[in-house]
Amino acid sequence: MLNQLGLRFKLLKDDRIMIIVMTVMALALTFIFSSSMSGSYRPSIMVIDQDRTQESRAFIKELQKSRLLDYRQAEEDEAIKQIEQSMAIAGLVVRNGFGEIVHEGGEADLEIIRIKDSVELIQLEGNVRSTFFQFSSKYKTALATVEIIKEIRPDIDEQRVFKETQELSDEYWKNRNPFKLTSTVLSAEKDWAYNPLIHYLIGFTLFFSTFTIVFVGADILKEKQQNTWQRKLVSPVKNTTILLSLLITTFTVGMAQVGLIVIIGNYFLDIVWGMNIGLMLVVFAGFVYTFTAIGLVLGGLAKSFEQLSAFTPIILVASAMLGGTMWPLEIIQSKILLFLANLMPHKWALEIIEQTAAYGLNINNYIVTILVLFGMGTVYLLIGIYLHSARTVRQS
Amino acid sequence: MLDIIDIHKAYNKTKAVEGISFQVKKGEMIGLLGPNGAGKSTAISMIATLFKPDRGEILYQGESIIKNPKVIQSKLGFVPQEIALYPTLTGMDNLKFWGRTYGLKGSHLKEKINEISEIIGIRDRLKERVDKYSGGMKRRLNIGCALLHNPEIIIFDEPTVGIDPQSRNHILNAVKEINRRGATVIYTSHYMEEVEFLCQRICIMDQGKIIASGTKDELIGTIDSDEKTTLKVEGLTEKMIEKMREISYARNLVVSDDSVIFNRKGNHVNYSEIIDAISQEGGKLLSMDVQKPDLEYVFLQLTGRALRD
Ligand SMILES: Nc1ncnc2c1ncn2[C@@H]1O[C@H](COP(=O)(O)OP(=O)(O)O)[C@@H](O)[C@H]1O
Ligand SMILES: [Mg+2]
Repeated sequence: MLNQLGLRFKLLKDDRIMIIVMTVMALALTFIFSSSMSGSYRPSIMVIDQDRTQESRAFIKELQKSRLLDYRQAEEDEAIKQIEQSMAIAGLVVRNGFGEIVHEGGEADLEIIRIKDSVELIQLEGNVRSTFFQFSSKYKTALATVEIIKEIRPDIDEQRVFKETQELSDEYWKNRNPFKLTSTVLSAEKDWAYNPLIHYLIGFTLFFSTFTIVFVGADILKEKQQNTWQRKLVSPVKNTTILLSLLITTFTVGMAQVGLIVIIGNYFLDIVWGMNIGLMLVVFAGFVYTFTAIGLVLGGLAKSFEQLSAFTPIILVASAMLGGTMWPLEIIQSKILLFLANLMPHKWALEIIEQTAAYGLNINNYIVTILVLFGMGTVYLLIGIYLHSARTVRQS
Repeated sequence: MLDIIDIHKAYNKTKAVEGISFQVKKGEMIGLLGPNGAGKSTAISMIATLFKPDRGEILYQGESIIKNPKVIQSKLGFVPQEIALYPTLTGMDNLKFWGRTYGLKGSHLKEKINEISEIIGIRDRLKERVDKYSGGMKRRLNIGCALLHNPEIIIFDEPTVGIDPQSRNHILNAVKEINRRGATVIYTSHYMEEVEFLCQRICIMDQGKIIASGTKDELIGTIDSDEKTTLKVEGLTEKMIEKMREISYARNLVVSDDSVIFNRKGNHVNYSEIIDAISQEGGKLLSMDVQKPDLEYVFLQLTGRALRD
């Protein structure tokens, strides 16, 4: 076994270009993402003001102070267009009668328009809720203050008192921003809110690793072509030892690549992955394991190394697209595509990391994901082993 | 030691081996001679446990290697027809890897690598990468990798294809030396001279079957052979030629200058009638050249085709 493993690691130098290129590309992307993330990314929300009262305008102004979301006011048609083109993640409609409700008290009638549920919408809801709470309490405080003072001194300038009270409470709230509190709850470690760029970063890390993994796996075909495979088959070394040494090497290389990106991102580029690194590496291990097995299957199906090199990129890119590494699955509508996404290990790995980043770790979901990834990998592994035992011979 | 009993193998529709049987005795060197596509590689791949025959049995010391390939694998050295080496590793690394694959370790492995690289003549090139080797060097290393573990039986599949005469001679002598040291050898080739030079026993293969087997002389004896006989005679006369034409075994007799050429028909005849005819007419036999039929000729007689095209 050691001898077989030693050989594999020695032969890695043949694939070094592929391994280095894929790792460097992923690292470069991580670097680019990390620098664009430090500038604050704010998802856009289209705001439609149907009420058009002083109150509604004041409320929208209040919303626009948010450091996390970019509220942009627009007419209804324009707003819908922006949302449909994914230029904005959602729309917020301030309904008719908003002003009255603020005056009289009661439930504010606000509506969120969206195409798909996404993590940012939770943020939006929270933000709107707390802003409204803040806004209406300031408003009511000011109203009450005017009432009280009017009873003592009926000749006061109502408008002035109202305005000054509001400004005063503004001052007061400024240092006790309730939303700041909420955001601290979201991420205990840093002042951080979920950033959708993370999605692409993880997506591309996974995507590039698949190339390394599958091509290292293609070594079986190379060996068949250079006849060393046949020579090993007639030797006393067990077939399982030969396959296992190959799988272990491939897995190690794949893990080294994703691990490097996770760790460099975390410690040197200040990327907040939103999940404990250890737990995240277990998810990646499941992913790498599955792709190692997929590499074995592809190697078993291809007739030659050249054939494999030709069709593998297509498969890898297609599966990465389906698995949602290129764009969030939230924007996909087709039921078939969403079903297919479930068969892609990318989807599972991405989803659990994003969920954890947004809502915190859900142990049950986490365990299910790990089981799904390793289960998927094992199915592919068995198919791969079958393919390779069924046709051990391929003479030139 | 080895019993090959009626093995068959087809690839999809191509019947590569159709019922081959032979025995290999301990210490002997047996040759499989046949043209390209005769089924030699397919036959010995089955003996080497690379794949199982569709039908038939192969016994190693009475045990089936089809049911249990393990019994022969560690005893066997297999030199495949195609070069089976890691091109990006050095010769040394290749030898080490294959040696360890057969369980060799440490100083014993080192000794064997020294010994074998001496025999095959690549000792001073071990530190170079294999893809820098010439065709002949690769062939030699390809052989060397199969010899490290002192195999009891060694199978050579056309080990001299496509190389220079010097490497070829080196390889042939190495094979002979290995056999002299006690290894049993199965050697396949489509070169008649190699098989003749090396092997005591020869199986001639064609289209998936063994069409004849035995020692070289036995094989030649099986066919109704013609020997091309050329006589140089001093004082050749018409009468003399007339007499020679009457001899029953001399066929197609032609005369040019002082030479008489004919095909001698049949196996066990002597030349006294010819000599009598010459001396009775006062001639003098200067030289006699008998061209014995070779295995090439045997193949031609058996199949109507040449061994090589
Ligand atoms: N892997 C294969 N697939 C299909 N046909 C094959 C394969 N290997 C050999 N053959 C065919 O089987 C026959 C015997 O081939 P082979 O055993 O290689 O002969 P030899 O070694 O005597 O040249 C040939 O007709 C060849 O084309
Ligand atoms: Mg052959």
